Amino acid sequence: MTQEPSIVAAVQWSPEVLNPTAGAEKAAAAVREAGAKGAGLVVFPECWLQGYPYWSGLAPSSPEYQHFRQLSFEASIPIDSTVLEPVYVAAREQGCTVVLGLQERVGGTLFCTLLFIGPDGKKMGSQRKLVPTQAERLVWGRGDGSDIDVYPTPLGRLGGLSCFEHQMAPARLALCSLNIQLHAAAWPGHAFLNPIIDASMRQLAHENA
Amino acid sequence: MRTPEEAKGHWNTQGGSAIIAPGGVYLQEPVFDTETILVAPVNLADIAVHKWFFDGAGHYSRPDVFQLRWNRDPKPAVAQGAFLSDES
Repeated sequence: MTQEPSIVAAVQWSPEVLNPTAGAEKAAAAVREAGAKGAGLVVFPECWLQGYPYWSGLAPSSPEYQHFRQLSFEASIPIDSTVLEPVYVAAREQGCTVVLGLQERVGGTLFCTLLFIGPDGKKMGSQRKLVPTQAERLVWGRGDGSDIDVYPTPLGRLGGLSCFEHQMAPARLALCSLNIQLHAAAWPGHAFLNPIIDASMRQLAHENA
Repeated sequence: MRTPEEAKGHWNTQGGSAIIAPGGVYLQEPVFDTETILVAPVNLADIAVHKWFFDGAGHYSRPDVFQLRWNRDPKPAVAQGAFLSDES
């Protein structure tokens, strides 16, 4: 028996850099626009809420780096922050499942986190990136792997990974073992990544079908 | 580094969002240098034929050869509670 096709959406909008309040409003607007197009699942890029920390590529000893680092710390939010409320409201209003990349603060440590929101407008779960890459290692801590999960949604079983977690074979296999059907792949934009993303995401689509 | 005025109209990075079907075919090819929301219909029934060929956690695994161990325990830096006893 074939199922009625569902519609998924990938958001490619500029983030509200270092402004999570504005970022949440913009995310809500994106969810509404995707919902208007009939989408039941809306996926954002890596660390989209505050913007990916491209400033981490500056020299850490430079005043500019240190300025951005401070702003980035202050723009980070606990996962239960009320700043996210507009996104939850939009998800519920549109009946959309949402996967949002954001920078999470836990005490004195920042994480690159994927937040999974259900169509009831409630958090389903969140997962912290296992290993930051290169310059990210001076910005983010490491997730402990306890929060990787696959969630039942109206469109199917949903999970995700961030960036080079996709290159971690055990992480891919872990999601496969949880019977993932829909994979939200959160990446930043970097020109050198384009061929890697093309190859590895198409591989993943077969490997974890 | 550009000033904010100089940066107006320049992309910092180019994007590349896409939507991919089971088996690796693009439903939406990667999109660069534009702001957009890509949409595509997905049909879970399309998964089955690919699992028939390859199921990495199922029929295409060889746990007698390679087995993944996943520690899903939370790992707090500080664990509260009594010390574990040496005595059994």
